[in-house]
Amino acid sequence: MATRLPPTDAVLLGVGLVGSMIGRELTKAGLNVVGLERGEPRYTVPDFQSPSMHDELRYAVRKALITDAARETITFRNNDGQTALPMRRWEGFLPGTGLGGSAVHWNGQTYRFQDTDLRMRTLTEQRYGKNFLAPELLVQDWGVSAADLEPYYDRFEYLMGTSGKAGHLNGRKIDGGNPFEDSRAREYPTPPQKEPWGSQIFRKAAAGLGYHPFPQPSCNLSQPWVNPEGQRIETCMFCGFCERFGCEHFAKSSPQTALLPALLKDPKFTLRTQCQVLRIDLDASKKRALGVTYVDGAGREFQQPAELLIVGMFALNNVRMLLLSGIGTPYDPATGRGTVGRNYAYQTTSGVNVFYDRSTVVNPFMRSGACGTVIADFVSDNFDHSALGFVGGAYVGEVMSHGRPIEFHPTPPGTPAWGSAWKQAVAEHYNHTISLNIHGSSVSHRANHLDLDPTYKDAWGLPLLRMTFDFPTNDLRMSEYVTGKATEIGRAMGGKLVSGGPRKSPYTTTQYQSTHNTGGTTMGTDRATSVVNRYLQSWDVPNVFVVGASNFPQNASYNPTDTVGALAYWAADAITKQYLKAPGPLVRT
Amino acid sequence: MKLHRSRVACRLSVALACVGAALAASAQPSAPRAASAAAPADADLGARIAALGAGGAAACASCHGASGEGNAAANFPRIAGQSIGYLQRQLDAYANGARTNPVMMPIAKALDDAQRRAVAAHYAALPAGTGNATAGNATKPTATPKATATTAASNASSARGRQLASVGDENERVQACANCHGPGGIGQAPDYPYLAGQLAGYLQAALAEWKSGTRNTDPSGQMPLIAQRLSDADARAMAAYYSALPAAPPRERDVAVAWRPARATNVVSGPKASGGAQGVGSEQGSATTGASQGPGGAGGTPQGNRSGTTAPGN
Repeated sequence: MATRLPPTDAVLLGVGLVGSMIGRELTKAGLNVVGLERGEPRYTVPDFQSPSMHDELRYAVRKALITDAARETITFRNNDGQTALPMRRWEGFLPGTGLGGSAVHWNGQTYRFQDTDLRMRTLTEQRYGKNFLAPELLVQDWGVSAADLEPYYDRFEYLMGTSGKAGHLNGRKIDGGNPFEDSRAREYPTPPQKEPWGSQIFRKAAAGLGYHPFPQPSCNLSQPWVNPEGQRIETCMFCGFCERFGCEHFAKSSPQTALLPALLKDPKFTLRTQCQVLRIDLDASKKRALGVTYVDGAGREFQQPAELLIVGMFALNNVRMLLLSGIGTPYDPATGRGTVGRNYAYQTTSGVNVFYDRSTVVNPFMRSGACGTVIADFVSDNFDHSALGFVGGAYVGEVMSHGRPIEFHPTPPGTPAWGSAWKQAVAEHYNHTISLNIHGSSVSHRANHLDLDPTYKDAWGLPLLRMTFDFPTNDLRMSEYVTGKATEIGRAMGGKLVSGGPRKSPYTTTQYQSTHNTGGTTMGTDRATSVVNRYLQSWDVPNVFVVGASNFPQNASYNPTDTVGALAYWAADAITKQYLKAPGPLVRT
Repeated sequence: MKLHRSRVACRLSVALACVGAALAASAQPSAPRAASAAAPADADLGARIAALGAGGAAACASCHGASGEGNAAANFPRIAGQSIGYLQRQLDAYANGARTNPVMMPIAKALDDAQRRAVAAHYAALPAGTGNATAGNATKPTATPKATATTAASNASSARGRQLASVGDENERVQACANCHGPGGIGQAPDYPYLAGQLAGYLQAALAEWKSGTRNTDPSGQMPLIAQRLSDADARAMAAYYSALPAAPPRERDVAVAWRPARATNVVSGPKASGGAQGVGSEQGSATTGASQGPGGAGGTPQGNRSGTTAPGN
């Protein structure tokens, strides 16, 4: 039934950030690469141009760049005792689709995870004792350290042109940067973005309380940058339409601006869009992938044989692809056995609003996706947890990304929810409110996991992914503690009213919190607790590499993209320098 | 560090608290607002300088025309109806050398801050469409084509101009002019000048200035890069396209919505929101408060009936 196509060296499942990065490395290594992208091709010109791109209703509310939930969605429940139902509209998180993937509509916040994140179990037990981590937490080491990843973070940031200020350069601490970061070899490619007024107020208050504010590292650039691929990324114009939108100014680092022009010119690369991969085909032993089966935009089914497969889709889809293909053992929360779908984690976010009178003019609309000022004093293990009863942490910052009219309506508690009084309150507070963001870690928990839904299917008749998730007590405690610290900073910012509160349970998918869905194809050094080895190679099917935030054993305080980029280069390096010379398992067990 | 003056025109509807010129001017309210500040400029002073000159500076009208309509023969731009912020910034740039021009530099230097401001305000207040540019618009593509080949070339050029203006060119990595200069080139105050109805010769000359670096007034570096990527033919096509558009209509004035306390009576409003049961939402730094956020958003709990809602699927 399916048409069998001529074999190729490598197939990319998904041509987003990971796919385009690894695809580029593979063609440079001489491989013929076919990129299969389920969504549409799209480019800065003409697809992201203004004024149509600044259509808040279309892109931010109706989410035009996000996966079509009528064809493919996720079912959700809080715990195993419930029956999951499909999400008919994306609200809580926004998995992208189309060429460039979610890296088209991201905000550009670009942080490195710390060594205390990557070696979390080892370092937590070292500092606080063997019994500090509750037994139901599946916190584990990644199999790589910050020092291992440093060159790959560096390479990714130089590809993207990231704007920031180093705080720890070659072992030396530098004023103005993040003093808690692990040592980096080079300064950021471009200087930090300009600091908006609200961020300046936050900086003064945070510094006054003894914290260490620094500019948020950003992939909306402060000045033009020509990257090692010869691509020029331009200066962010602070248009206020960043996350959920494509950038019309060539100013947001994305596959479109940083990589695709080079990759698409490469004769060794073939892009096929609107191609939905149904499964990875395995041989009879289930230890070797033969290629993929996909359906094109006309509904025709194809088999694309390949020697090497790169699963580089959105984190949740990476997990689903392995489950649909029968690669690895699905996780069973009842027994604790199995690994695919284990270690699902999220991001524990909360907010604090500081309301001013009319003399403080904030201009919230004049923002970039990733401008702002933050502190890392409560990130990861940068503070003493011994008496706190939780692990992990959060950054606190004034990182407002927009003041778009449909979405941004800060009003104090007690304001009517609609009507004239609400309108008056919005008019009063719109330009005089500073929002602080508390962006916190998420531990993996025995009960939180991903598997295939027993009932609901997608447009191709395949089971949807089912998410079972609620906030672990550990993270609610963390949110309580750090949100309290953020509230103190808010009070020091001189407003007339500070309001906010920590994240509470139950988790709901009807309120946007974060698109940082992590885990499910965890990396590690022990195949009993991980899906891929430290080079992101499947333990079970060695010619399959799975790359993305799905590799995270738990989620850290910071935004994940820098780490996804670093892991992509880390895996590409292992493939081109080790695997291609001797295809087979890179780690023997 | 100060965020340079608004890269974003305030385009919010009047229902929102767009507090006018002051808001659009600077991210830092304590900083002096050079552009489009609230303090009124001296209208009489501006008109006098325009008509008669001042302190050794020649009268603006002698080159830019009595109504600020420009002079096509000499590439003096139309300045009527440009935003006060843009005009003043150009005068400042001529005075401090960020933009070089042998005619304008001595004039700008001869004016003090208040005079530059006054004359900028004077021209900003004039309607852009007034008057035909002195000596006609020779460069407008209005000549009757005499041969089919010429017509085809002209059509192609016109299509190219429209493409650059409203779509851009992916291969050249040139974005649409409309991204910053507004749909139809009407401009976005205070920073981005209108292009519609501007004289073609001036537009080409301006691109040449950006390309050569004699105009260095864009801290983002976007305009020099764009100008470098446009060929001479592209610059001509773009200039012809915009010059053929009608001059920008009177600009929407910055809207100041005066805040007033809610009336005590006859207020139709929803129930008071209780704190959200699930915590304050936060979308990449913008707390998701208020009525648009759906159940679970704190601050404003919509309809007051789903506070503490459980997850869907239950």
